[in-house]
Amino acid sequence: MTTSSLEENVGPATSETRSTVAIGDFSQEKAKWTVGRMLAHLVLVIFAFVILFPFYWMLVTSVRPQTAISTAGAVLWPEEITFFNYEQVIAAHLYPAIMNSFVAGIVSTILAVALGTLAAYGLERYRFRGREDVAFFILSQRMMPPIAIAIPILLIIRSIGLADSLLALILLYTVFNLPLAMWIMRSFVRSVPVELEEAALVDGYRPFTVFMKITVPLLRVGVAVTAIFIFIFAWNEFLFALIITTHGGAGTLPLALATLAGSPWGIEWGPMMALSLIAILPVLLLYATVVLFLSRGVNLGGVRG
Amino acid sequence: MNEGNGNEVVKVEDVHKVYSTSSGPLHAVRGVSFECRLGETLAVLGPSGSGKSSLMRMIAGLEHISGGRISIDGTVINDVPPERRNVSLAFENYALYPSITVRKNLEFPLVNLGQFSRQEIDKRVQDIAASFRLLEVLDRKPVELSGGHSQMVSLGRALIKPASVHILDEPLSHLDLQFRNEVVAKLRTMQRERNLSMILITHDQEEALELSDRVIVINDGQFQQLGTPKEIVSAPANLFVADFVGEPPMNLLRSRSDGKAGTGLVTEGGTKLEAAIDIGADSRDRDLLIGIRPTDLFVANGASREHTFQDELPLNMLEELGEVTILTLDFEGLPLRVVLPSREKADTAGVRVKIGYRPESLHVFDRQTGLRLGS
Amino acid sequence: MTASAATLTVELRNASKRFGKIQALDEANLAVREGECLVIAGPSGAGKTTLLRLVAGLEKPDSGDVVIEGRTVNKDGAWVRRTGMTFENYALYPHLTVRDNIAFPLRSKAARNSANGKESEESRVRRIAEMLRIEELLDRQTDQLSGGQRQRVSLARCLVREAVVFLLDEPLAHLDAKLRLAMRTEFKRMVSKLNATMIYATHDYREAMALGDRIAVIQEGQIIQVDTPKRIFDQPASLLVARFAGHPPINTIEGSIEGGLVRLSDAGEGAVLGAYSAADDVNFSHGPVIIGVRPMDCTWDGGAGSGLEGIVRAVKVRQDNTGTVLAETGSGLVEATLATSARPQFGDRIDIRIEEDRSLIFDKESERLLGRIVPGASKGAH
Repeated sequence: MTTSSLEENVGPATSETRSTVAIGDFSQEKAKWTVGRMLAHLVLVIFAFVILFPFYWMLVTSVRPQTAISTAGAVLWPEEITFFNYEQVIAAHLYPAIMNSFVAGIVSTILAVALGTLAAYGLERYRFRGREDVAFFILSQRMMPPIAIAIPILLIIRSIGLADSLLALILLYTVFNLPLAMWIMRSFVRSVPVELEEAALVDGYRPFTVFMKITVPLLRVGVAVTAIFIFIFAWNEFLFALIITTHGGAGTLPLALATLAGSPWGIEWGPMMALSLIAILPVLLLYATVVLFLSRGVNLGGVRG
Repeated sequence: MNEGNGNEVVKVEDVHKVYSTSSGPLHAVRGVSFECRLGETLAVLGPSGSGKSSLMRMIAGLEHISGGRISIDGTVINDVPPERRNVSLAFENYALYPSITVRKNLEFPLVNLGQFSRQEIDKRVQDIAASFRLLEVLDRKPVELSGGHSQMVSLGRALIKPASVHILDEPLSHLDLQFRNEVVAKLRTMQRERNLSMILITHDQEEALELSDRVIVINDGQFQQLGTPKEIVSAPANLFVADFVGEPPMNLLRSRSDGKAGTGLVTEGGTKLEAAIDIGADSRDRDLLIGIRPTDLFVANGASREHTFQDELPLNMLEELGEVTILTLDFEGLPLRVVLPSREKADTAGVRVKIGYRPESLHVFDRQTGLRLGS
Repeated sequence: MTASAATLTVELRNASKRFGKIQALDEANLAVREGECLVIAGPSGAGKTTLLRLVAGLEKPDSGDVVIEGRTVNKDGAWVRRTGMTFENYALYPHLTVRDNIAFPLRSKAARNSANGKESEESRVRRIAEMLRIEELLDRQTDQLSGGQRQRVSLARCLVREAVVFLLDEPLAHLDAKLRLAMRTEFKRMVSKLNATMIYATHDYREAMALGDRIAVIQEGQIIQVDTPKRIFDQPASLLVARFAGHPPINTIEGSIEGGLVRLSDAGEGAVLGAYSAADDVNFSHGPVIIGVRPMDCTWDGGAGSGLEGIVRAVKVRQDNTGTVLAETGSGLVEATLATSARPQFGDRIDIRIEEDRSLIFDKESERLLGRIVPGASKGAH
């Protein structure tokens, strides 16, 4: 008989005379539909329409045959639906452009996130003189307008023989995104209570193992958010892809899109819209993942509460 | 302290609170009624999850009242917003304004009311700060304060402004013991001088007993008992109150009534006990629990008129805890605790001890309903 | 007091630690015997957590030594020392189930290397879970647990391992009053079953008395007294220890010693309580003192007392249905037990009786224990 002799002898005390009351009898506060609210909703609907319409238009255009586009101009509903544009564009650009974009994006993301997280951990958990200065210095790299260093970067890349190579793009994207990765991960590392790591140390784990087994699993959200930002950056990056690579070589999807705009036949709207939608797709999917992920799993409390 | 009907500052009538949660409606407060009279301190006592916080928030106006009525100074305030209810609230987790000093935190309620001169405000702040030992921290910011100081600022801020009722959420919980006594004395003095009405919300029965004039005990959203501290301790209305109030908790012995009249009781193991009331008066056949507080038991010293447990009980554990000594004995297979004041030298050297009791200190409860018998 | 033949599992030798401006530990000396439960007791901020962290290896001492099983471990990382620790906020790993949390210390490389194959991980986890009555929670996620359950999982994770010493940092602090008492009883049972060496930090005096084989009272980084609970209570070395060790807290009354007699009031004009009996090694013979009397040794029965007069400010009911009265005297608030069913009213003047033989005398300046009062001698001599 430990916690309470009561629990073992009898249930909670009840009042004999209380009759059951239907919970539905009780009122809840309800939001009121005022004119203000309706007006606000109207404004929001208009904005949503303005933003979504271009995407709709792209979709419509991408499934129309090129002939229909050139003759009939813009319409609200396709005369006939064909996937020829998609077939053509995928056949032409899957290799190498789309693949290059994927590889450059994924590899640079992995590298930037891994290195950025390690840097963030070091900066956050270890105290040393000038700590904040080092952190700021790293961040300041990102404050420089990329175009200012475009030419020097090109020269350097050429001089080490990596011109028009995927490796160059990967390295460049990694380096560009390290400061951002470090900065974002730093606040996520801060949100992991240090007591958890201390508990693991006392439990017999060496510091690096603690990092891998305790900290990293709890940085899932931060890693996801950072990775998505970095991948989207790499996927959409145009300036350096244009300068360093060539279409058909290590060129990426944005480069391929650009060529469609400058073909001798004028702008090929159909294939361009199709390729554009293909370009947008991963970004949309990633964004949806972020929203789902964040709304479900941000509560990581290991500390009581 | 001050009593008298028609003197009700806060009246809670059949109040319910239902929360909509993701797993369905939660009926947190179920038909609780009580009143707080002018000049008295009423404690609302219950464990976590009992609904006391919901009650507090409904009185203060921070939660919508799902059912029933709450009146302050005779006016029903169900739909009155918090700032017009004339209530002040001291939060348990302080809720101090972090960007301003302690002085400005204390002034805030008065400045807001707009009816006091600068001199008057300064004087009141000085008085409150002096009462609650805040004079040295008046110009600090809340983040620099210790838990005890923060709690005093929260308390001071609630008491500085005149209000129909002051609601205090666990006001003593973060204070060290000596300071606690000072605050109790201070609150009582202020109550006397200004005829304050206070509602105390707490899960700590010691806090409720030492600071209130009357206590309402609730559990699981339901009313358990309303009475003076003395009544709650000496005549608990049901098993919950009997077990909740008192440390160590009341010993409960299983017994069965055969419906025969008389004051004799028999435990399941056959021990005969003598109660002070006639249990069998309504001649019902039922399961009982006999309650005896550890502090109402003593080591028998052989006096002739003493009531004792007929057998000597084996001693399992002896704890010397300074002011008291706690014996844990084996009674019919279950632990029976006896608390002895350590200044009384009692013969506890042996392995078996004879225990005495007074019939008036036996409480008898119906095991099914949990209710007290024979009051 | 020397710890002679007993093996010392943990020792702190003149250990100091400072954080910025705050001296958290100031030349602390402590010896923990094998198999004992040593309670470190003191108010928040006294240095209890810092002390535990020094032993665990989460902090390194600025000066002095931390010695575990005879070896100085100052430079050893926490993962090398074989200790277990509970944290005040439990620090449960949120991405692991309860079972994985508890088993975590058993899965470290260090643990697997030193595992002697006597008992499997699964059986150990089960045994500890049963001891703490959380077997049905083993497959739950940590965010599905109540406060009391989290506390027990935290304890289980600490106690499951083979450790030289267990370090418990206020394990019961955040529990409801009732739950805390129930857990205290369970804890006592567990400690005796485990036969382990423990250092237990708490600010709760009653918890310290109930659980400690010995208590070390700490204040502002200094260890004031290390003794059995009984001696801490009966013979506190200073006013600070006496104030801590008492519930309700001890009353401190101004007094003086003149001509071998103890009088109330430091001006030497108050009523005589008795003769002064100095403790060994004490050189004090006259002057102002502080008389420490516990509320249980101060009474009011409606009539005359020992001459300690006060004005009633509050009447408190206690859980055992006795009452106490708080009265404002010349020495501040005094709490006395009511020895009558009559209740004084707010504002009444009362005369409180002091049980002299249980009173302690402290030096007004240094607050050291000077001695006691011997009652009866020369009473009535004003």
